[in-house]
Amino acid sequence: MYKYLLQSSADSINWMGIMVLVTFVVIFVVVLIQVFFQRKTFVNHMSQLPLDDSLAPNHRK
Amino acid sequence: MNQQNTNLERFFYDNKIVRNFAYATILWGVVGMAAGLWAALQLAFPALNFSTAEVSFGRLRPLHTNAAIFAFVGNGIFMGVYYSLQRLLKARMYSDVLSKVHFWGWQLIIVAAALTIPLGYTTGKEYAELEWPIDIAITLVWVIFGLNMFLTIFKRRERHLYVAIWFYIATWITVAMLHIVNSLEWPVHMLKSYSMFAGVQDALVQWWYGHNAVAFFLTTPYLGLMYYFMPKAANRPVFSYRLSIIHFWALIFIYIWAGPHHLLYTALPEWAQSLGMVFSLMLIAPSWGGMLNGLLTLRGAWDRVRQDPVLKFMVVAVSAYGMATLEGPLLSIKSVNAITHYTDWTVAHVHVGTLGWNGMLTFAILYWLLPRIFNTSIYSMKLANAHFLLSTLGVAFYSIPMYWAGWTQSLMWKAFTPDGFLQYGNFLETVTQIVPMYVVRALGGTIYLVGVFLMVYNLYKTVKSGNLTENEAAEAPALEAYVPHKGEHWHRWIERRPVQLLIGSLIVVAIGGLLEILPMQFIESNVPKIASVKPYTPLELEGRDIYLREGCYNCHSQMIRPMRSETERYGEYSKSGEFVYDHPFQWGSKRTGPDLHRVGGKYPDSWHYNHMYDPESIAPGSIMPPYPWLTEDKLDTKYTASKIKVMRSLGVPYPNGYEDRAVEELEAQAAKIAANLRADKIEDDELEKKEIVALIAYLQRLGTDIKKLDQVVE
Repeated sequence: MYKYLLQSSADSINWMGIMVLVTFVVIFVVVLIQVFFQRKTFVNHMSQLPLDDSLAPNHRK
Repeated sequence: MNQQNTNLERFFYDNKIVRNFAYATILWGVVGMAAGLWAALQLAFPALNFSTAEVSFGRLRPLHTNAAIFAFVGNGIFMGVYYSLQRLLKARMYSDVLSKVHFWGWQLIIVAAALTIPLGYTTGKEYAELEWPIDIAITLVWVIFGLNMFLTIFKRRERHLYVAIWFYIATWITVAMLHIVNSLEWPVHMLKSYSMFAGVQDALVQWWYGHNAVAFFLTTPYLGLMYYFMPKAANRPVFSYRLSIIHFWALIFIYIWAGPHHLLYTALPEWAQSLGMVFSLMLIAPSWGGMLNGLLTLRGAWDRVRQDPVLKFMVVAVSAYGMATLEGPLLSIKSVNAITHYTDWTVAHVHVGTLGWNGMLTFAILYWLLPRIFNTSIYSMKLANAHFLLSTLGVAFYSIPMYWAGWTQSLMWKAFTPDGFLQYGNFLETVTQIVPMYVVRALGGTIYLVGVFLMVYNLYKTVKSGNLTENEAAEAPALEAYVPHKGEHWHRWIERRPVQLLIGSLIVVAIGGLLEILPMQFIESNVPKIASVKPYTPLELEGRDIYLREGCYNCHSQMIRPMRSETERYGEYSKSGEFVYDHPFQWGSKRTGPDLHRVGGKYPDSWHYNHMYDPESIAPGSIMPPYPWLTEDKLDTKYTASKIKVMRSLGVPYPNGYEDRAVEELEAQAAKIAANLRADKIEDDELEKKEIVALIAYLQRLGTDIKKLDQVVE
């Protein structure tokens, strides 16, 4: 069945390209929007993560 | 945040597993690079294969690529992941036993590869040469690695997953998907199998895998390492955490589509080629976003870059990443690719990536990490700085002659006389012209390897001067049940949930794979059938397996592009319908020697015999290695019948029961070829039983089916 489903679209495969472009743009825009609305405190916390191996005082970084 | 919690838990990071992977990285780095140097020297001085089958170029080159990618970089990934994952999650690895099984399992796989590839056991697919039992072992060990990683993530003390971990998760799931799909093969015996896919479909699956092996084995895990170790070494946070998120999603979405740029101008349908080209061009944006994010992390620390070899290595590594990821998209433009493909330009391009990006980032991490877990400092900064200098010089001395060789050879291939004939009709002329550049390239490789030996000595002395903290103490508050608050963003939701992140990554990368590969599998019009194309005879099939075993695809393509310079030199351009029985496809990716797709019938049988026995006797100045063992070893027909049966089960239309008379037909065809050879005064009492006869049968068949034009249907 899948074979025929795809076969029928063999002549106009352009929908795939358009679908891909739309999917990419949607994902990209959603990520972009949410990233720029993240709180600064949260972003700072995340970017500090590699620098803190231990949360105990006086631990070597 | 969590710091407000005063109930600190004490736990220990496992440094022993990190040390083990670091040692393995160093060991296999030396082995893989030495194999590469040896292969490079063979191209300049062919006698250096000592007429030994196991180390001839066609077997040594896959040994080098597999060792460099999966042994050196593979262990480098695990070293960095085991170090950073524990610290980013504030938790010890879930299970020491799983860590150990992962470590020893991976090393055993490498040893199995190092034994089977020189012995000629290969699937014949680039960067996926390992045979099916080893493929299964890779899958199992990869699952163990994933299990250990996810169980560690589940018991973490830090609620949110840092971006490096997303890269690790995306790497894990995508490599699993690529490896399983590209390794779908049907066994003939314990060390022989045929790809389930054939011809153009096999080519698409292979380069979907091959390109994404670069993307998800050499790039995404190393970007994860960059996002952890660069802030660590510079002692300042990443330039923009927001940019790293955009980098992640854009990169994994786009990367997966780019595979077909390895198949431009081939028999792959036009729509797939265009898709590959467009997505490759789009890749510039996220790649450069990531590169700039890495470099700008050093803002305010540039003064330290002058003294600190770790930062020096990092800067050059990230710059090499930037250069390679600008060049890659440019090489994917069809008109540029028409010039660069099959030449040494590609070799230069990948080595800027591997020697520059992967090599130098690995060295930086080793210099940073080993002194820390051994509670000491680098034994000699001078030696480390000398290593940096040698590495940089090595990359330059490697890549510049290769670029030069690529341009020279490509221009020579395409040069016509005013009368419209090929100016360099003899392919060999275009090879002898670039041999001096192969010598300089080998010098570049030597310089790079000398630098690595300095590192080995320096790190040996460093380790000797310290003591390993096998279990490093740390403290962090336990993770409390999380109560979502109003108005938080969905991405924070996903950053807390590794499984959702895993599924999200899989969906994003699977979209590309499915939409590219499924139409090729199911829409028949993508591979027009040619009625005159028939399955190989049993002798030709055996000859084809010898072609695979000797790794001929490492130097010869079987894909004539529809360009005048190619059709003049080789004949009619290749059609997808000609490869429908090719399990696996053998289009190749590099022409150190000429294309072979239309070699069938071009020369007499005796020409091939003499050429394989001693190429220089036929073509003085040739750098092709001699294959004397083919004229000595007898053809093993033990599995001929099984091979026919397996091929039939894969869809090759051998009649039922054909396997029972396959050997008989094989012997009859061999007798004819032996008679031709004897007529040309080649004496050997058992000529018809020798492997060379099967190889000649295969070579003489290549590209001839289409010449029966009256039978062509479409």
